[in-house]
Amino acid sequence: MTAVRMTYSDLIQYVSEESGASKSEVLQLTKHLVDVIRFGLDRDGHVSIPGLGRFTLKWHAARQGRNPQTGESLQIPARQRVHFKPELKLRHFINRKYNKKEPKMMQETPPASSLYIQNIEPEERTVMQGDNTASYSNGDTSEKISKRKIWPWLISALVVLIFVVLIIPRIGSKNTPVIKKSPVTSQKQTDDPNEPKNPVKPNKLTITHTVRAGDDLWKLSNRYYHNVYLWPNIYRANRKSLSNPDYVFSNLELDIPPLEGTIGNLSERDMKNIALGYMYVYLAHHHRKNPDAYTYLWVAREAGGSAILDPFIQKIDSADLQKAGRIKGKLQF
Amino acid sequence: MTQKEVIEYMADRLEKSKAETRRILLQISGLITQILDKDKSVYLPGLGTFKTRLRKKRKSYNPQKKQMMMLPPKRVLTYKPSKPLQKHFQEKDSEI
Repeated sequence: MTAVRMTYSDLIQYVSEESGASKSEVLQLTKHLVDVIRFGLDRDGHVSIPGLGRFTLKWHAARQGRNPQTGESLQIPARQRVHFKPELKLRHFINRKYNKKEPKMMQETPPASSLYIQNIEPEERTVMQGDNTASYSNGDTSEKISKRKIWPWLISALVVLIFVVLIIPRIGSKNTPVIKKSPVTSQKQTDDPNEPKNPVKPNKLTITHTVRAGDDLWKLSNRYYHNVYLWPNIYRANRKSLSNPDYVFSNLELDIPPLEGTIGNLSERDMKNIALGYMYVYLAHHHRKNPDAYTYLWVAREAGGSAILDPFIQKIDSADLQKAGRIKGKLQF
Repeated sequence: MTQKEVIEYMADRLEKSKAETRRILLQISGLITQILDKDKSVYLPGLGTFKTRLRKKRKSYNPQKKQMMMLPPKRVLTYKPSKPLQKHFQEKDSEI
């Protein structure tokens, strides 16, 4: 089924016929709609359109790719892409013919040596393979590649698996509700010249971000550092204004401390700062009796070495320290 | 930008009340959905193309049931950003 393309003028015609508005009105409306999406993506990195869905900017790290025509391997640079997720109602409506169909059990048992591991995070979805009998449905070429490079695959899959296991309690414990009341009153106010439009610049100045509806530390970290797991670094720099690392408030001015290095190549000082951030988050969560607080402790120790724990040793629960000691894995930002 | 902010922004531009703006936005979204439902792709200049696609049934492993499952076919909406929009954000990147 190939979709018939509807041109812009056809769209305008159709909408104006259906709604009774004049063509010029519809034209203005669609222009404003595109405008608001661009404006929102520029300013916040995400826009929700009523009745349609949510547009977001997603950061894609550099990766090794292949030219599909020649098979040559090439480096795909890191970039931001615009993603769209339709609203639930829309998805159900489009899919209404198939909504009632359920997944069926298959007689076929999975090969014991191959396991699909699927997780919430699409980037970390991976295939773990025990040996060469890979049940892999991406076509012949990918199977050949995976057979040839079985060992690097296995190791990286294991690392990712461990990473995922460690990260899940953290996601669970970090529901960041944002409390807000009409932060934006008019467009002119939001177009503040001091407002950082771009992520961290090489001149390494501390950026000030004014919290708006829909923001949380996790998202801010993604936006400014291109990595969600560095959010404790923002918490560390703003502990005076944030009593709880899981809450941010509208109109709060947050300092976004710059990084010396880049993701994948962080400097020692960055790692120390991040470790300190995780340490403070641990203390805050421990204070609130979060049973998973020890995971933060583990990250703090992995990132900053055991020296980072020394100043806080009296505040750390020894049971948590033991639990953290039992975590096996390698930290990777 | 939340839905509320979008409505405020649009109401300001269209010089209409917020309730009216919300109604208009829902109406145009509904009409776009109807077009997409008829297997037509919608192109908005400066934004990109929306289209629906039938995802075929496929085999997948359910890690909870520890069994291979046949997932039913599904109709999904896809979005492809327009070149200028994509370039706009890539250029923003290169300034980092």
